[in-house]
Amino acid sequence: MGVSIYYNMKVGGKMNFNDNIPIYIQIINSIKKDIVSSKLQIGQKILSVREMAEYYNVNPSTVQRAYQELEKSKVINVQRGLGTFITDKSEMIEEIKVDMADNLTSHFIEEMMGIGFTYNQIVENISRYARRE
Amino acid sequence: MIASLVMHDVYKMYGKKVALEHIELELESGMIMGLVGGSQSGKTTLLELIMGLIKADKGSIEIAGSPVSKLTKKDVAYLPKDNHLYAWMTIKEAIHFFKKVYKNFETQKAEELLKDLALERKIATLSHDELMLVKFALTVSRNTKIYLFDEPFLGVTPLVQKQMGQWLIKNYTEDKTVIIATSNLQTVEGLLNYVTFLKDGKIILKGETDLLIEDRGQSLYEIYKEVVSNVRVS
Repeated sequence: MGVSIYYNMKVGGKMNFNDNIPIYIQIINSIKKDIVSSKLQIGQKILSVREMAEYYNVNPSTVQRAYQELEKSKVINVQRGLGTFITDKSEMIEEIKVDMADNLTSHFIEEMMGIGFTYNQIVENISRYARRE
Repeated sequence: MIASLVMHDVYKMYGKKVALEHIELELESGMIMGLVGGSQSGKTTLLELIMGLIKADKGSIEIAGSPVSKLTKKDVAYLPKDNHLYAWMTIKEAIHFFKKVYKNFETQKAEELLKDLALERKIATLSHDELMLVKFALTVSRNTKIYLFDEPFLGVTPLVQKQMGQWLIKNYTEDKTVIIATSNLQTVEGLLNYVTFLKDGKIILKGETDLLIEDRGQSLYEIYKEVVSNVRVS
């Protein structure tokens, strides 16, 4: 399974059912992506499990599973009676950003090396690409 | 925690024809299971066994720890493929009929779900989409343990299918168990956290959706295609 779990994510709140990525992981990635791109702000309240299930038309227990994982890794916290919120710790946001970048980069490098590129060639490729911008 | 449904080594024969063979299934409450298979695969027979409409020739079926009997009938709400509503009734009369026949039928919920339809309309005048919505709403308005839907999306437009999915989610609670028998996975895929693939009366593959997808690295639809073509999987 050499494909990055982020590559196949659809943008804009739609789950891709034709994917070989479980829906709860797609939900986790979608929320993380929104945090990193600032669509979701630090400390912001997000949809409840049920609201999110209705929005995506998925089983509430699937959303529950995604929320549990996110809560375990402290990306979100559930406050009884108040709702579910994105973490208010900016270090956590940074960590998510770095994690996501590492994941995308490592898979990119893996694929490039799989075709035969060396580190130097990969870096050269990126530099050349950056110069075009 | 008692499993909400257990089927153990179940066989059902119609004369010499084997309709279901060696069926092993265990569901926990809170699960929404897809019973997926083509026509003649045995889906309806399986649902009728759980409902208690027919008896297994071999094996056991238990609902919340009790063997299927007259006593467990009230624990199961069944939406059959055929139309089971009286054509001459109005929607309102059908709602009242259900209230009379079924304990724990929530009239208010049914009326709320069907608020976009004129309740004085006769069943016979409804379009296919509208009829399926009414049938679905009536079934979902029964407050019970197990819900069985036999091909509820057959011939129904995608938008209405989505509406039904939303109703299911809105009425979802962890103490209920749902089985949706279907021959196509679209629209409803996201709802299913468990899938059982049936072919020629046998369970070819079953498991939690997430685990199946993760283990096989395939989408549910890809798994379905592989399983339905003659590839035997363990």
